[in-house]
Amino acid sequence: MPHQVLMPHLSDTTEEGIVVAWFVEPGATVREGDLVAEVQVEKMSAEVHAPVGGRIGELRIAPGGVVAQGALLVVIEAAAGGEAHAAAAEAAAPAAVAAEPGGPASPAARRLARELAVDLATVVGTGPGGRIVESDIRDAADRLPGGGGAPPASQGRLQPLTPMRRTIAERLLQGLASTAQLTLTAEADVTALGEHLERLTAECGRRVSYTEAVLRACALALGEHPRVGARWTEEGLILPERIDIGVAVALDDGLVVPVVRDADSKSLEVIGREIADLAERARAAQLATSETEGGIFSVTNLGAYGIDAFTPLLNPPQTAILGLGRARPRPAVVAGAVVVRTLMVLSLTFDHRVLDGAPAAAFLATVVGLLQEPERVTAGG
Amino acid sequence: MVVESRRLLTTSKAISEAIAQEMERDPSVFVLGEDVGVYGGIFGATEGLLAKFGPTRIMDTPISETAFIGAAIGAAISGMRPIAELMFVDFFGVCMDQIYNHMAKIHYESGGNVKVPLVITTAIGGGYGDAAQHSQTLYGLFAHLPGMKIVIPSTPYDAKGLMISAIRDDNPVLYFFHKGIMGLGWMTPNPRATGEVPEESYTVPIGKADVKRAGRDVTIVTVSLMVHRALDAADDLATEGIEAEVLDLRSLVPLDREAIVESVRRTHRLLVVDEDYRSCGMSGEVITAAIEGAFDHLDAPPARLAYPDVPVPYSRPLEQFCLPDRAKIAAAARQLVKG
Repeated sequence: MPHQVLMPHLSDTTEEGIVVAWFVEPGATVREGDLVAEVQVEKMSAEVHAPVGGRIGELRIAPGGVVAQGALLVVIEAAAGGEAHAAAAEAAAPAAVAAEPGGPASPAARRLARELAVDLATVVGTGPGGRIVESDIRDAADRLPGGGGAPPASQGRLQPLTPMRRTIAERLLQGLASTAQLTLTAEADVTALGEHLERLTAECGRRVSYTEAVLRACALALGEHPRVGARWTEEGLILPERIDIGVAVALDDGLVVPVVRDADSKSLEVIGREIADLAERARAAQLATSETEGGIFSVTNLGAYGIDAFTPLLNPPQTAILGLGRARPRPAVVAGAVVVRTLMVLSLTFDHRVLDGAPAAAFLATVVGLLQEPERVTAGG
Repeated sequence: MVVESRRLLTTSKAISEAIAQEMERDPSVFVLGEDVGVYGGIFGATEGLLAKFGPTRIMDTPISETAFIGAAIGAAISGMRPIAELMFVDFFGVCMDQIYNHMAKIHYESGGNVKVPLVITTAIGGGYGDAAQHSQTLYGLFAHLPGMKIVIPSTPYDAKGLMISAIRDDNPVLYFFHKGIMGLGWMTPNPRATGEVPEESYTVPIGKADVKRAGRDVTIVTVSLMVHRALDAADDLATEGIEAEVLDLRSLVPLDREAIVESVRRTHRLLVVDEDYRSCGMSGEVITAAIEGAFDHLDAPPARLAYPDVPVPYSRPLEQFCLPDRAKIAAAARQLVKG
């Protein structure tokens, strides 16, 4: 009997994903548990395995094609009696004859096929008597590379949007449109902190980064300034009960923000290992959706890219995000004399609906103060 | 608790209210016909008007349709705005020369110099065992002839607004009311025959169809009592996941072809339901409009459910067999969508 293999449900916040790759061909025989496809929804990818042994039917979605969660990916014609032999599958196959592509088409289907450059000969009709109807053309167009329709005839090569690109675009644009964002900057003298981190690196054999120190400083500061971690709703502000902080991780073409839970009660060491683990798994596309949800604040570090200061964009529905510039030796004035110190610019973007300038500045000053007294950041947890 | 108060009327009361309001507004409006006075119209369309306006403006006539419709035409071309009731449309045979050779042609033959602002009201439809000479609808026959407007309301609201538009129109108007939409106590009860009607005077434009229910899967085009049946069928179809759009034409002349085309372009499927005879009538005209304007948007051949080309049987089972109804409409729509 035929067994439908469906697009898995990987995200509650988006409907569609893509088929990244097929590992089988139509007509191939698979055993239960064999790898059939790799799919991706939003920023999460997953492997699809054969739920039963049998023969692979038509691959409904082309590699790179967009597919709704829960939609049909492929039909496996299960071998009878549990004997997944090709011969048995072949014998069963004729019983499951589907409508042939290229049947009669309605006027509406013909018109739309012309408009969307869909070849009627490739479309299987679902209307009365197997007639190709308008909705069949829409479905077929959606399966074309690029999500349907002929690419524009002129100028440029179309690069289809990945689900991650779409998600980033939607969330950032929506965040910009629905919040009142502005950025404050302050310079932190991290000379002592830098020395401290170098010592820790030597001691534990792992590179201890500014990111983890700043993340911990933010966790402590958020305890003093809970409003910075509040979330705006029409009913009122939701003040956080836990201090979960996201840390931005750059990918080849994209960005994810996995979350360090209860960052205020974890030591620098634990935070550092967690960030390293999350970042590694993010680059391998192995994060669960839940690991990127629920943060009340985010930290993003462009120091490694040679950036001194920038205006981070909020990670909705959060109220604030702290951007780290690079830490480097610069001339500074200490007690009336110009001396060389290691300085870092911190850029705090916040939502003015939730927070006014003075309390935002107070939060930033607390973070700067903590970074300038490294023992307060590196101790405890 | 806020109680929303709605002013509900039956269709017959909505029509007589419309006539009364126009008679109060315009002294040239008067009513004549068989049993329109003392009896109030045998389907209630002129109920209460005699008491309000007296026998000089509400005139019971002898049983001679040619005479009183001819008289009404004469009054109309002399500056009055008469409303003449032809008791059953089936009786047109004895007065058709007045209607289609005089009423419908005088404006044309006078080079546009003479106007005929006459409304002929008439009762249509079967379903209650009144046999071959009292159950026909026949609006298609009149709509075939140029020179007069054809109005066919389905709801109390439309009935009032269209009647006021008909009386104010300078062209001759045939106003068809189905006995089954009037809300009469002796007919099979029809909840859709009662509806909200504002007390103040208002018009509904003649020549504008109305979407009585919006839907995406199939367009059901019809008029009059079959609008009620189609809405019932659409309720049934909705439980199966088929969303039918019900388009009430409200008038056949002028015919709102744009509304037909617009709806079919959205739903890709058309079913015409017609209580009039099947061949050479409204159903064929509506389907032609759809094919001319929406051919490239059709997902299925347009279908029609109409009265078969036979006289209306007296036998109740035979009549019910012939009439389109809720179940037949749902089945025809289902066939269009699912095959």
